[in-house]
Amino acid sequence: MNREEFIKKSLLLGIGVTFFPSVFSACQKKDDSHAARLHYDGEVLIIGAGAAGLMAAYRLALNQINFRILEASPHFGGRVKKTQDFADFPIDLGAEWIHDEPTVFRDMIGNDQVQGSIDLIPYNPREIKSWSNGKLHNHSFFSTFYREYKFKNTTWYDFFEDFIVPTIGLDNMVFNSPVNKIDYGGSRVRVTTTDGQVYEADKVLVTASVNVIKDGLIDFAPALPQAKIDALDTFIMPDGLKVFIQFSERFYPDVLLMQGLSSILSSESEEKIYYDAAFKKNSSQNILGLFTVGPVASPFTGMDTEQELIGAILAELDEIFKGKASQTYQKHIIQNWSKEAYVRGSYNFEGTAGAASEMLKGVDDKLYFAGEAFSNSAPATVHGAGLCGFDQMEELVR
Amino acid sequence: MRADTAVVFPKTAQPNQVLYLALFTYGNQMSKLQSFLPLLFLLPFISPAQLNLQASHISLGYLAPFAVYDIGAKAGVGFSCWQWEQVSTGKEKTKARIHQIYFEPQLAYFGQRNYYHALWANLETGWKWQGKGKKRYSSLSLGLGYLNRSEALTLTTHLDGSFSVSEWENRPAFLPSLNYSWGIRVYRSFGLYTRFSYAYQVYFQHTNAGLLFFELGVRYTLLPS
Ligand SMILES: Cc1cc2nc3c(=O)[nH]c(=O)nc-3n(C[C@H](O)[C@H](O)[C@H](O)COP(=O)(O)OP(=O)(O)OC[C@H]3O[C@@H](n4cnc5c(N)ncnc54)[C@H](O)[C@@H]3O)c2cc1C
Repeated sequence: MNREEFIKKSLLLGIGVTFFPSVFSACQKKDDSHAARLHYDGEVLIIGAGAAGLMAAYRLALNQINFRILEASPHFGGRVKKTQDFADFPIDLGAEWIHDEPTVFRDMIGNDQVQGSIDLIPYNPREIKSWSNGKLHNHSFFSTFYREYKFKNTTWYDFFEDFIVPTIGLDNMVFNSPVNKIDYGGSRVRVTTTDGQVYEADKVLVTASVNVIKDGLIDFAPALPQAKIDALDTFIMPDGLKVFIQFSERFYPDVLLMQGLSSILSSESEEKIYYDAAFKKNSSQNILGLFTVGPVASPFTGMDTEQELIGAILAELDEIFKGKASQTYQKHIIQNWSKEAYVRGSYNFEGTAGAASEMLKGVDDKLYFAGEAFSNSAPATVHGAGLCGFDQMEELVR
Repeated sequence: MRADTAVVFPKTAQPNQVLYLALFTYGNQMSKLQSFLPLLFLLPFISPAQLNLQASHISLGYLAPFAVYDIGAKAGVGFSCWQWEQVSTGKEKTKARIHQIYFEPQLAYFGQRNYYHALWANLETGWKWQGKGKKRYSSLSLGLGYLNRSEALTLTTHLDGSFSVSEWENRPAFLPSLNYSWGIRVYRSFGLYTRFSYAYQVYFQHTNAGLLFFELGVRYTLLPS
């Protein structure tokens, strides 16, 4: 397991969260930098309104720098997404956990004038089981290792909607505008969207996921320097899926690890966990979540129909809980991140600190990158992505 | 070849000899652990009059469930119920061991900031053995405890960076435990000990769960060794 992976695994587990921040260099939170004023007279285009793009725009807005966000989908958030209608509490269809201390919101907002509070759940599942070799194993003593937070009555999406987007202004975001060409060869950058619209700016920040860039959805002219291509090659963004199922009965533990306890700390870049999504929420419903990323997610993400997928999940649960899943099933919602045209997977595994730093260097002082993959302090997280976008603005206007 | 074992009752202690002999005979036939465990549970229920109770030690320890984030402390006062000496004559030398049956009421706190606090009242009954004149000892004990765990349900974080738990829930539970301690006398009556425990939280309304504890502390011996 390399360092990145270890940090990532640790973060996902909540282990060591307090130890890692501030140890590494690129794209990490700097409390004082939030106060640092930026001066730039040019215009900036931001590709993508995910955590990184939104936080980059937020910083530009705070500094009255001209910018515009081009977003491929009809909404902001990217891998931060919610549904309000499925259960009696809002559900995060993408990022759900806060893999950091509760002060992370202050670090992200970085403005003491902003008032407000957020209710969180101290997330420490008590009943932890694993399924391996056809048997359920109890690991409840492992509970004290968990040290994370979740939103109580809101979501990651609400955080951006309530505290970040008002400063950015919805008017500065152009939705349904997938960018397919970035020409940074001239004195200004020309960005073209799939519907033929052309936008010009002095500098551009690309926050599209690694897979979007690697799959060539954006044509760079001139082509990206070899160092960037080599760096990109080190990142691996495997499949990812989330499913929520409502049952009439709660027959499942707080957390069910599908690959045994050791799998969490193993070097494999994969995870498959069923969990009680209503844990410590004000809910009277039984909502089971499935979170799976990596090769173990691929059989599910590759299925053609929703029916096929939910059938496979219920069959799996039935085997573990002796038919209870099918008997008590009520409804489900599926978020297949691998099939989101402008995400194409879960989040970054592998990658090295060197590769991330390489990606953060500007090209010709016009083209910049940011996103979860390039955060050295908290890769694969929302706050890591957000702070990466935020910090990258300093590099961009330098 | 099996060593011959003799029992020497110390003059100071007046053990309940019937119970002791039962334990001893039974213990000789089965493994120590098997014979010992069921009897330990009975000890706190035996009339104090039958026992020669003497405060034997005070212990104060840092206690943490098996995790990186939890912290806690435990204090206890040990009472010696019986103490006896066992002399084993082997092929070449004679070994003497001091055994002690004790019980120790304990009070502990452990918790994880922002997640939970737990108060634990425990009655531990144990068997300690130590080579005569030796500084080191080991003990095996069973605990029967009551746990009140205050679980943080909601934590409110303010955007200025301050945060505090805004909703707690009290969760009472029984907490039986199995402990192994190892200690050493360092200076006169002062010693250090370390203890590993497996405890099981039996909740009235919530899911039961195991806990592993690690404890490190100081021990002050009141009885002359
Ligand atoms: C299943 C799953 C569970 C997760 N769980 C957690 C968690 O619990 N906690 C946590 O902290 N993190 C979690 N993460 C990771 C977290 O969601 C991401 O790290 C973070 O949201 C990534 O933000 P980003 O801005 O880098 O990328 P994105 O969110 O992918 O944003 C990029 C944006 O760019 C847009 N875009 C892409 N291509 C183009 C284009 N050509 N033109 C215009 N726009 C484009 C996309 O539509 C998207 O909106 C999870 C991720 C997944 C998939």
